[in-house]
Parts: sequence; structure tokens; C-alpha cells
Amino acid sequence: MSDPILAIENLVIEAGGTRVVDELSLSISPGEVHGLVGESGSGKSLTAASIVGLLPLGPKVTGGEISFSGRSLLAADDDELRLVRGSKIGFVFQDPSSSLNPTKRIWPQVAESPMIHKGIPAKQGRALATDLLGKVGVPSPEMRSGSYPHQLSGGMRQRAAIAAALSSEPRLLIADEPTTALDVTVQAQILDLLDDKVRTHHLAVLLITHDLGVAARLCDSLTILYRGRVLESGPAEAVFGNPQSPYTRMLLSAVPTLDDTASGSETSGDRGLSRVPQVGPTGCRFSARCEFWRDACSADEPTLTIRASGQLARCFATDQEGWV
Amino acid sequence: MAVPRLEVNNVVIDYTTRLPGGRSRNLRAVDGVSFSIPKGTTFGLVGESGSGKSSLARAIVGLVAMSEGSVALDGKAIDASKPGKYASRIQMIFQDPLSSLNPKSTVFKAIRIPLLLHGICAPDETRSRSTELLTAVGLDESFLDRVPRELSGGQRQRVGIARALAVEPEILICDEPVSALDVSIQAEVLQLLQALQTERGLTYLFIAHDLAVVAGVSDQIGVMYLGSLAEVGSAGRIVRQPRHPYSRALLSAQPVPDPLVERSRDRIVLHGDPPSPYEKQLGCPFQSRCPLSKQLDSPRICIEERPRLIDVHQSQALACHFVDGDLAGTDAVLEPNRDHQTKEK
Amino acid sequence: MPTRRFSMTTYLAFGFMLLVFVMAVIGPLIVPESWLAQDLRLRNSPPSSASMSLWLGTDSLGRSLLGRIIIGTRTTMVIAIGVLVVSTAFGGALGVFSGGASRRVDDLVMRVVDIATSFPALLLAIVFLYVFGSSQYGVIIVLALTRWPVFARLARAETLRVREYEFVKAYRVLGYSRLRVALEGFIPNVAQPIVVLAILTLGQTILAESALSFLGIGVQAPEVSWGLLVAEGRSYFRSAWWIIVFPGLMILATVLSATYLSDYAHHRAKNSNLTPGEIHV
Repeated sequence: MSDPILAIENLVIEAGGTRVVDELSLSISPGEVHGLVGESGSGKSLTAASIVGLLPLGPKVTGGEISFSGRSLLAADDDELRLVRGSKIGFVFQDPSSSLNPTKRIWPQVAESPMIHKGIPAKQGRALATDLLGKVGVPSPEMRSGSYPHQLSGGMRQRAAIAAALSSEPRLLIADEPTTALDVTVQAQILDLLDDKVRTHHLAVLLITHDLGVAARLCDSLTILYRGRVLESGPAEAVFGNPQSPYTRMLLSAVPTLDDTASGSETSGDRGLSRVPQVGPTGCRFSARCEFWRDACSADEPTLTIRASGQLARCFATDQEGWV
Repeated sequence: MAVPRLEVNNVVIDYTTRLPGGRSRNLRAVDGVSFSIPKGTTFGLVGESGSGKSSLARAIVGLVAMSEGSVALDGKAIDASKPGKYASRIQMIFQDPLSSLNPKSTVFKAIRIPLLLHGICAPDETRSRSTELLTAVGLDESFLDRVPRELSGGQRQRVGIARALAVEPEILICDEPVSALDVSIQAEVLQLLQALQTERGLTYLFIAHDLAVVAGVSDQIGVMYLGSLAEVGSAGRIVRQPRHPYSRALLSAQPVPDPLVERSRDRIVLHGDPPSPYEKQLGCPFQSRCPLSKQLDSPRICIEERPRLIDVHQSQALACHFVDGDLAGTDAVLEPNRDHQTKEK
Repeated sequence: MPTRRFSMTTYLAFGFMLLVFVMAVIGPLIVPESWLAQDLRLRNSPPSSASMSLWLGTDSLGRSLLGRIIIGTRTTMVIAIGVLVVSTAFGGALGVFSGGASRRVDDLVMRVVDIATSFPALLLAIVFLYVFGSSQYGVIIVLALTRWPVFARLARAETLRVREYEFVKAYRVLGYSRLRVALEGFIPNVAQPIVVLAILTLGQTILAESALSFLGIGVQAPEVSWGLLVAEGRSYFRSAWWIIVFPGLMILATVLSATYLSDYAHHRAKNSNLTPGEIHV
């Protein structure tokens, strides 16, 4: 296994006095797709933003380290970060309508990075953009490269965004919910595209998603995040096949699959809000919604321990001396 | 055969935009859709963006005008031109938890006013009635005096359901009620909706873009594409034996949360994007992306003639010029789908 | 999101406006008669610490400037608030109506608003007051006539925005009448931005009243307003600067306070609809 391209160690992000990301660690090697999975409020998007120094006003990194190819990103100054962003790390955002500039044509946006960072002249840039658009599956790329974003459909725009992210041949691609805003049939196309690009370019990918189906499709390894805390992480087969965190299990059972018919799925819990045991400042963050909760869970927070199938998980109940 | 609770007949919905220069452009969002929903059951209407499913839902409650067609409640045609005319019989639950509640109204106010407006109970009973409704959706009395800003997405959706139920409707139109919620909350809200249906004998029209969600709650499913129904039938049949190429692609596009399965299964991936709904072609709306049509070298009938919805089974109807004889993996035997029943084994 | 701290300037602004309000209400009751009596021996006396009535000096008729400023507060504020109430009520209602109506009606109403905006305000004021005579009510009406279009536009814009919210559709499906949708749905959500603008306009209105009085068509003696005081003081600017400066300072301080308060209200409004702690994570 080659050296990781991206290594995050004990990242802490605070906002308004609380930790919205609490000691997150993960690493990604070239050619590996790592999924950062969580629901809203988990801190996944903030983590992605912090890697390239794009945190919004308010949240601040207060601890930990992020290194890219061995060099610290948190310690980098603005100029260094600018170099890294766009040329060594590509970013794909969730909403293709707002991630592209509506007042500029497609080709300068796709070729922007190589034109700025490598000084490629405009004519060459246009040719490059057209070529890239063709490679991401945009039909009639010569014509499309001269279009404006609003003239393209959502799927096309996302392809253009991916082309833009890949234009300077980055070593790491960060994709923040790249298919969430798309129709499911278009999502299937984009996922195939991403899969293909990962293989051909030996890309490292940090994929942020709340959709376990998407994660199953693309990810080699996962980190499951809940309210800023890593509850489980490890190889995809291990996490999906033998989930060790009750939250992961809950997420998996809550995903509607086509096997369920109107007679109902096996989600636990009644119609109401689950009972709320004491959720104090100590203890496991998932206590309030956990089906295996016991007093021990609110007294101390479990640590990440390695499990039989190879992943790390944070849970007393499923651990060796646990009750599950 | 009992009279269906809700019936939709040949509904056509057009949106006209006036262009500068006096001309106008017409968008046919729904192009002749009919189906019926028996009492106490759920009809799941699934489609992607541009399918017209939301327009159809809104037309049923009168928020959008129909150019043609009619809607019938218990067999009697209703005048769906004014929203709220049948408020005590049909209600709607909306998609966006952020905007479906008035940010300036407390939960109590949101429920109380419909109660009073429709004379469901006396003014001094509204508080207890509202509490009952909240309990029914899994919230306790303390929520009455809260403002939407203090509620989570799932809680807001529950309030929206309580509000809709306040007027004691028989039919609930659920317009993508869980799409904007976290997966774990989605399951809770869906369970709630099902429990309420059983308790109160409600009839649901459930609209979603996610086939898996729809499959779990529906008795019948209708698949819409660019304004028409591609396929309609019992949920079990549509999910397990879809015949329309689009239904199959839709089903196939659904990622499975199991990496071993997901990476090894066969997938049907469509090529290209849906054509612009402004340019309505003559033939089948799905023709330009249809894998079956490509496989058959774009037969003329697909390009020239629009397929009608024809029964291929007691509980399945299909709008396609061809129907597979056999789906079990052997070479598909394709026979022209004419006005007859099933040709399957 | 970093919340706006309740800063020193906001406290000062609040405090000052409170003072103004108190003066307006009880001013005429507490100022001694003697202060307002004309005494030509004291005319144009500079500010002195000799007695309280002379703290800010006297005007050309020997009347205590301090006393007159206090008295004048009521008239000034009555006019300012009167204008606000009339223009927000009328402009706001029209704006909400227009925003909630059909495209055609909306276009029509906005045409009217455009026409109203293009009237030269000062000319209108002069003509109106000349014809109907200057009085407190006259001034209120004239100023309101120039202010209402701004509120109409704002109310309409906000209504158009709120109209897209799904709860509006929910209300219709629940059987709410259009009127009820406007009252329960639009107005409460439109109120905050209107209030912010209204507070800002308070300052503007006081200045406008001053201008009218300065021109002699606003408040007329024996009534007193700050604007009138400024008008009276203009002839003595070189010899008795205090007659114009102190009322002027009063106006300045009030306008500034109103501006700060409006800013505070704006920040509160911006943050109030968010879920607490809402950050995109």
C-alpha cells in the first residue's frame, strides 16, 4: 500500500464553542476512494472545506493536522494553498447550478486551472476543455464548450464540473455530494464516470455522501461520522458486511431497498421520537437513538477499537466484552 | 368493483410562458394521465425531474390548472379549479420542511386555525385537539408553543402531517414528503404515514423520485416519464417484473447499499439526457434514450407513434410498442404489444 | 454565525431614543412656563450656567432654548411617527396586495407606484401646503405621500419572496381565503424588513420636516418643532450660533440613533429565521 496522498489526523473544528468535528482521522492512498458518510450535522462538509482552507465564517480548525503528499495544509499560507487547490486537489460540489459561474462560458471554466497554474494560452485552453468535455461524456463537445451553464442540463453541468476538477490532473479529488442534486438515472451515469476516471487516472478520491448506495458503488473504504465523531471506519466490505456501530446498522436498515414491499421494513423504533436517555457532556453521542443503549454508554465515551473484520468502531456494546 | 376513492382521468396540464414579442411557448407538463386509487390504499407515483408528477399532484388539489381532464372523488367529478374547495376531503403534505411551515406561526397556531376554519371542534377544545393530533404524529404537547425554527426537519414534517390531518381528510397527497430528510428520519416518517393510514383508513397518493421509497409504501405504482405514464401496476409487479425499458432503467439505477452486490450486478445505464419538454416529438417520449429502441435499431413505430397504455396483465399496464415475452434472462422474445392481454408464459 | 453583540453604540442609541420619547410625552408638562415666556431683556443670550433655563441659551425672543427644544420634541415626533404609520400602513398594505395578486394587477399597481415616485416631492409639498395651509396634519400627509412608495416596493418584493414558500400553498389547500393568506402568511413575514426600513426612515422624516419648516411651510408658530427652531435660528447664525446649533444637534443625534437601531433590527431579523446553530455541515 503506497503512502497516503491525504492524511488527516485528529482534526478538530469548532464553531460557536462546540466541536463540530471532533478528532477525525483518515488517510487516502492513490487510487483509493474513501467515503465520508454522515447525515446533516455530521461535520462531513466542513471537513472537506477545511482541507483546502475554504471554511465559511465561523467554524475554525482548532486542532489536528492535515497533510497532502506529506506537507501540512493547515500550516500553508494563502499562496501555497491556492497552488494546491485546483491544480493538485480538485473539488466537485453538490449543486451544479451554483458551482459554475453563470456569466462565463463553459470552456474557460473547465480549462481555468491549467490556464492559471500552467499558463496555457486561451486557444490551447479551449482545445483542452473541448477534449476533456468529450472524455466526460458530453455530446458535441465543440459546441457545448462554448455554451453557458444555463444552456446545459444538470447532468451536463456536473460533468463539466468534473471535467474542470480533473483538468489539471490533480492527485486528489474531493467530491461533496456530487450526485445528490441529480436524477437517479443521471446519477448512475455520473457514478460510472467517476468510477472510470478513478481507474484511469489512479486518483485518490474523498467522496462525501449521505447515500450508502452511492458509497457502496464507489468506495473502497469508509468513515462513518455522527455529530462530528467518527463512529466507524474501515474497508467497505467490513463496514457494510459486518457493521460494528449501531449507527451504521441503523443507517443500513433505514435505507429503503427494493426488497421491501408495503408490508414494511424492519426499522426499529415506534412512530414517535425514541426515548431520550440522559445525554450529558460525557458518554457516547449516539446514546439518544441507540437501540443497545445502557448506562455505561452515558457514563463514558467509548474509544475507537479495532474489530475482527478489520475496521475501527466506537461502541461498548459491540466490542469484545460488550453485550451485543 | 368498489368505487375508487380518487380517480384521475386524462389530465392534461400546460404551462404557457409569454415571450417578448407577443408569442407564447407551451410546455405540456402532463400529457393525458389516468389512474384510480381504491379506498385505503397507496398509489405511488414515481418519476424524475420533468416527469410531471408534481404538477399532477398540484392539479388534483387545485393549485395548478388542468387544460383537460377531470378528477373524481368517490365517483363524483370535482371542480379542481380552486384550491381548498375540498379541503376537508383532500389534503397535502409538502416536500420542503424549511418552507412548508410559516416561520412566524407557532405549531399550535398552525393546527388551530384549520380546526376552527372547518369547524372541527369548538374554540375551547382546540388545545386538546391539537395535542391529540401531535400525539398521533409522535410529538408531545410541549411542541405546541414552539416555532418552526426550533424544530428539526423530521419534526417539521410531522407538524405538517398533523396540520393536514386536523381537517380530517380522506385523502392525503404526499408530495415527496421525505426527500429532504436524513435517511434515518425518512424511515421514521414513512412508518408514521403507514401507521396513520391503517388507523384512519386514509388513501394516499405518494409522489417520489426514489423508487425504493415508493416501493416500500405503495400498493400500486405508476412510473411517469415526460408527462405520461410509462407503466402502471401493483407495486410487487412493477418492482419485480418491470416491463417498460424506462422502469427497468430506473430500477437499475438505484444503488444497492452492499458493495459486493452493487459492483457486480448488471446495470442499465441510459445515454443522454431527457429531451427538452418544450420540444414534444410525435412518437414515444422515451425513444431518444430507450435502450430497447437502440437494440432494435430505432424502429419507425417508436419514432412516429405514441404508445398507449395497454394492460399486459391483470395488474400491470404498459405504454410501449413492444413487450418482452420472457424476462428470466434468456433472449427476450419481442412481440408487438397490441390490444391484447398478456403474452407471457 | 457570529451573532451581533449588543454593543455600546446600540445601548447609547436605545438610551437616546428613550430619552427623546420621554421628552415627547412629558416635555410640555414639565417645562416651566417661565422658560417659555418672552423676555426681550434676555434675547439671544449665550449658553450660561447661571440658571437651568439658560444652559443652552435663549432665542431671539428671550425664550429658553432648552425649554423650546424639549417642547418641540413632541411635535417633531408626532409628525415623524405619524408619517411612518401612514406610509407603512398604506404602502405596506398596497405592496402586500400587489405581491400577492396576479401579474396583471401587480403590473398595474406598480405603474401607480412608479408614477408616485416620480412626482417632485418638494414641489408637491409646497403646492399642497400652500393650498391647504400648513399644519401638523398637513405636513404629515405631505411627507407620507412622498414616503409610501418605498414601503410599497419593499412589501411587494418580500411578498413575492414569501409567496414561493410551500406553507403558502399549504394554506390555500387548507382552505384559507386569499385575505387570510395575506394576513397570516405574508404580513408577519414581511413585517421585519418593513420595520427595519421604517426606523431608518424616521431619521429621514425628521430631516424632511426640518426642511419644510426651514422653508416656512412646515410647522407654524405658536407650535414648536426642531425644524422650526433651526429655521428661526438661521438669521442669527453668526451672532447667536446656539439657536441653530443645538436643535441641529438634536436632529443629528436622533437620526444617528435611529440609524443604529435600524441596523440592530436588521441583524436581529437576519438571524431570527435560522435554526439556532445552523451551519452547513
